[in-house]
Amino acid sequence: MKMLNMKKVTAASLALLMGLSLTACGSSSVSSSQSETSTQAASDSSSGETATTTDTANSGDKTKVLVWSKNSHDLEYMTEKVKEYNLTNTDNIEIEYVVQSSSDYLNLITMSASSGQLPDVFANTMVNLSEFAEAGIIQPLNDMMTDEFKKVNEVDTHTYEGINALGEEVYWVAGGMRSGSRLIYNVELFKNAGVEIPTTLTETVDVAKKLTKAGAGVSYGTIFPGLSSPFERWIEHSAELSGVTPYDYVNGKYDFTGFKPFIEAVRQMFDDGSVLPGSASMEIDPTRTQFAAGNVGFYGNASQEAGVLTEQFPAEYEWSVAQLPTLDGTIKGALSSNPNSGWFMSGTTKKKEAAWKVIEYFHSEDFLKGYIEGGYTLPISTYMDSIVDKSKMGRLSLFALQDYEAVYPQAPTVTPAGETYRDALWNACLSNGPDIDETIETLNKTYNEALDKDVASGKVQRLVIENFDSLHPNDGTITYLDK
Amino acid sequence: MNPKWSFTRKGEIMKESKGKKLKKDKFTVFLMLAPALFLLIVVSIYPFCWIFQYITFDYNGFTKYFVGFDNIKRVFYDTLYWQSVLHTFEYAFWKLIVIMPLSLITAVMLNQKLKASSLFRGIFFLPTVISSAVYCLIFYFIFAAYNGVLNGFLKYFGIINAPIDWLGGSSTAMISVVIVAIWGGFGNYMILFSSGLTSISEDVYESAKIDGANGFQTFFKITLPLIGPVLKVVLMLAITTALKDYQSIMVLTGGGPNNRTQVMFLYIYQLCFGNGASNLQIGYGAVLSIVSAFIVGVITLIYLKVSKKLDDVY
Repeated sequence: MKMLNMKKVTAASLALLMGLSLTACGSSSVSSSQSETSTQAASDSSSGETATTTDTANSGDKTKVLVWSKNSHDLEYMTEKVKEYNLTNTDNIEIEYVVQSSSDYLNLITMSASSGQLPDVFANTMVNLSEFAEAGIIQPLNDMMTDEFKKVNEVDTHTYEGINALGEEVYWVAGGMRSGSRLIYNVELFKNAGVEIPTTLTETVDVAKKLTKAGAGVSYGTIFPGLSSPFERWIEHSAELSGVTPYDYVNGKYDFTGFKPFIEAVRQMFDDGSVLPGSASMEIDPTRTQFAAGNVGFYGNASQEAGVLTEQFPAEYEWSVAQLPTLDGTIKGALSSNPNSGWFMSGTTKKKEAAWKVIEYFHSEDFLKGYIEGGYTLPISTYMDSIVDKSKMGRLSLFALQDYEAVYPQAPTVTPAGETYRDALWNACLSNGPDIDETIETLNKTYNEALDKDVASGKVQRLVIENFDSLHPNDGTITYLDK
Repeated sequence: MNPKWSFTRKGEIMKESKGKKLKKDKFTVFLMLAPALFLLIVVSIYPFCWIFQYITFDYNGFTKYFVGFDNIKRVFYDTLYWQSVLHTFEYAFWKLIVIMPLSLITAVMLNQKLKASSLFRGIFFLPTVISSAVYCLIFYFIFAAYNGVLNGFLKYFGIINAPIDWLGGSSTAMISVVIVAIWGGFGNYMILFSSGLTSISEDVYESAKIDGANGFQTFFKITLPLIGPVLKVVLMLAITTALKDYQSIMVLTGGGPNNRTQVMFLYIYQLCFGNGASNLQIGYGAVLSIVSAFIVGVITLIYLKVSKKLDDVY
């Protein structure tokens, strides 16, 4: 009898515990109806958790604007500024700021659009702009922009066809710029191994080998995040700097032939054992922690690493950045940089005016100054560049934009019958990977067949640039063809 | 009172009440089945029918482009898909060949009413209630090539000199994901076998003991034949689950290295959700879903035909 009672008590306790845990797990979003509330859930965009911030003086009669972001690195700043806005704005607007998982962000947008649940405002991400515009997911912002807004953000200068604009219509405005990739290196390991920063592919292979030898099984030459877009983090950009791009802008077709020496170099590094073991199955964060712990000589990535290596995974050793190596040491093409820190307005929002006020706030001089000085992005407009205190930017200043950087025209996005070029070329980089020539031949075939098919069906247009200059990719005459 | 009439009337009343009762029973049965039927229709049958509308389209989630039979034709020359089918068979083969005997032997051993058998049963069942994403992350650290637990252990005992890239090497990746699948799944099958074993009467074992049967004879001549029907169902579940597995592979290797662990349903998932909105190929993914469902269905049917003998309980 006693035993039975004991069992009952245990069962009841377990049920209660389960109920409590479910309740706790279920409360990911906080909507405020009380005065002066401030809530912030834990955030880790890469792991898919959600952070919600709602701060308001009196949310009862306010127009609530739902804002989605995929960035967790700027959460502290955003939380503070959202709180400030909710308490001080005179337009009776309340921002509900939600950080979504960065890895599922695009899927979340697509699904919420299909189910009519789009947020009013959402952070920009790389999308097929014309598809989003045609589907009514987003709307142009031109009519709402004020002269002040245009002055601070230099909208007319930073309009990029297919990236943030379609013809005259601007769908999001860049508040900042992400630099192109750099070679990020461990100063101490380079010194110990007695090697210099590599400038050519051959030197890169050699330096990685020497660093590995000097590391004696503890540290290695380089690292790649095999499961987190390894090809596009720096191999593709080394090729770009050497004048090699996946899309042939002059002839309006895809051509991957120029990538061969880059793939051979990476495969050589794998064959030499110069790549930290386990790279092929690593996500980006473990690769960063290995570098931060001093186990890796160098790797390649863009300006977001400044914040990562100082705040997220503070590096235990001195590190610096240098230009990416090129095929023969000379720069023959522009390095692509990416406009960022922009906001889309939902094409279906019923609170257009309030949504615009929020976007306007995120692009205001005061907001952007704090954002840039906080080291979250690089200034894109000369106006902002002239007013920010660069000494406050910390290590981000190492990634300052260079003359050889540019925003490339958006190549037609096609759906090949086979692997994406980034997956296929990365697989060819691996020691036991497929034949490099065969891979390139297959990609040339599948991508151009897909391009022909998609152009014929009206899905995309063929982009051709007359007088294309790989060092200044925006200088030629852009033509879109229907065949 | 007319007795004849009375008899007929009585019969009619009885018939009527019997009919009413049958109707009521049927209604009760339907009512009890309704939630399960509703869920089956909404989350299984409807989505399966839903995907048929996209098989002739190039669909990325919001815009459809008619492509005729292109998606169907592509199936025949998509080497990556057929490679993933082969990998699925390879994965299922290795998983089943280990997990079935292991879970059955464990269930038989724990059925011996030994000390702490309930505790061990609980421990072995634990992976089933843990999220596969969580235990895959733990295994990720165990298998890590650099400073990983397994490599450290092997190095300590002098079995290896250089670290093995378990998840990143083409020769070890498949076996690594199979080990994780076995660890995560065997507790579940062990419990199913345990419930089958409890239905075997103690008298049978006692008789065998009196007749002088040893442990092996008892297992092969009594236990195995008597849990035949349970074995048949468990095997069918194990086969279909193994053919549909992809979540743990997605976490551990993402289908790599060089597609070495790419399985059918991971490939389909990546087509429908995985490579960014601009590259989504839901139409083609829908065709492959149907083809894959057909493959799994055919294998299950073949198995059911072959395993008919397991129903014949002694």
